[in-house]
Amino acid sequence: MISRYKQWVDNLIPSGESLSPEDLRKRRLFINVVVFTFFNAFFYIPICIWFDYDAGLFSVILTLAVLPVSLIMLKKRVSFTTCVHVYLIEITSTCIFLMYFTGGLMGSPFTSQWMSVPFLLAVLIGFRKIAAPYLIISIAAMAYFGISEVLGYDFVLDMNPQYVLTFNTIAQTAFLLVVFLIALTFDTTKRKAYNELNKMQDAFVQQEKMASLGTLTAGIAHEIKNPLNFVNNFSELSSSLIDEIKNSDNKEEVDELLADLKLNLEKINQHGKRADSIVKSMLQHSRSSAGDKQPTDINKICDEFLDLAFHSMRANVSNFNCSIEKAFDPALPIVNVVQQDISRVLLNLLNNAFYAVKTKADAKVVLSTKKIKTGIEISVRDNGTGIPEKVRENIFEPFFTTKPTGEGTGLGLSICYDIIKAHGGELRVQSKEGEFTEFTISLPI
Amino acid sequence: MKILVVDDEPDVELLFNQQFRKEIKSGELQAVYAHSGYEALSLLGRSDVADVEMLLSDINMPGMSGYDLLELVKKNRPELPVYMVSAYHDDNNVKRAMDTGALGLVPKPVDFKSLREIIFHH
Repeated sequence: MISRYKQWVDNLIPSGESLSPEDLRKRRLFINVVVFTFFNAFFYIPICIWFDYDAGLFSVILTLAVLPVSLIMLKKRVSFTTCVHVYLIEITSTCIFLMYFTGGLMGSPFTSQWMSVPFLLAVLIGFRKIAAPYLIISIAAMAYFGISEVLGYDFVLDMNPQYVLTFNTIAQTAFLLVVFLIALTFDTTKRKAYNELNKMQDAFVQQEKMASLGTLTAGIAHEIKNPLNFVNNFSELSSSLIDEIKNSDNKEEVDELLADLKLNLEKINQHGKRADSIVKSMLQHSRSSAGDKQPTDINKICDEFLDLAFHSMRANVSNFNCSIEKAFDPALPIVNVVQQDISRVLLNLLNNAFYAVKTKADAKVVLSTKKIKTGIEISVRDNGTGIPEKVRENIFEPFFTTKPTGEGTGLGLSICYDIIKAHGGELRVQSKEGEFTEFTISLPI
Repeated sequence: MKILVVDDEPDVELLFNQQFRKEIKSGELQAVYAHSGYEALSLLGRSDVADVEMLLSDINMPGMSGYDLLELVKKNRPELPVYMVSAYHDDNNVKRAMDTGALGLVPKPVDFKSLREIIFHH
């Protein structure tokens, strides 16, 4: 029963939005508060009939009608803040209305507990700014009615104060208790569930990283073998050059040989560094801890990972062929990013691009960077299969994949999306089926 | 002896020039370099390069792969001896290179003693 109720609550929260656990908690608490307000109002009906409160009955029916509206709005993706405003406006106005027409502060059984709703929202959900004006209005109304009553002004209904106070206290305590209990149950069980979920998510993310590293192995092997090839060859050459220098009497020839030797040593150093940078990139890619942002040359990373992704695809797919175009903006500013995260995004997008063109005869992948007003933009465009319109809105969802079973985890783009969002940027996609797909990353400076 | 060397790594040119310094100086060897399959094809179409006696080509190159180049060259110049050079020298690649018309696959890192043998005594 409880789990069904929780499921119902979760169904009201629009899916597809990437909400933080805290945001999700706020929405769940809000729905609970609305639901219990609804029941609370519902039980007010017999009291209204019993005491013949026509105005009360009217306001309660209005409340019952309006409360589901705020939930429907939430379900229909109206902003959460607006839904909370609708709820608070309804509650505060009903509350004042009831107090005025049903006996003032002391004379209306349910009134003061309704007054506590803005307070509950402010404290429980943390919507202090939204709830504050309603809280002030409620307190002012209570003060007005209270003072008026002390001064002897009689509101519409006058009841036995002792009876009203007892009834009011019991009802209010019960209401608050239920709301708090539900809130706490949701809070702790869901938080536990979230911790579990977070752990699982971390494991999946790590798995995805290792999987993408696996596809890279061949590319990395090729990329390291090339500089090593030069290191070996230039060092062997240098050794024989020294022998030649030793045996030569011709100064001109010696000078020429020495110049070659110097050039060779520079080449050895350059290619050694190249291999080192590849190993570093690979290690960074597999590292699981969250890295720090550091000033990064995006063009350099793009160049590096384009080569890696290309050679990986080449090694993994026989007959793979593709022309590559690099359009790097030389005026691209240095950007503060978590390097291994951004390189992971690039790798994912490039792997997807190469995957999309692997059966195409005139395959082409274009990687471009450019400076924009607010920061920089990186685009990966391929002339491959394209993304059908009906799945385009799902591609950033976790575990969504169109690849055959075993070929994709469905986490790649979702991780890319999260990484870019965490950098304060945006990841967009444009595509035409059968023609092209272009992913654009924009990052702020 | 005139050879055309195709590799997307620009330092290959420097490496060859040094390895075959004496042969190049003495005129025994003439080496022409291309950095892509497309460049190789256009060079082969030029009159001053068309007389090359051997083609050495890397396999993994962006755009046109060594295999694509080999196929096209074999169509137009079936008599031209071609050797492929690659870090991937597994049985599959060796077989594919031979099937497409290459005389052999030289593994990377290149052993220049063997390459010298191939160039001058193939």
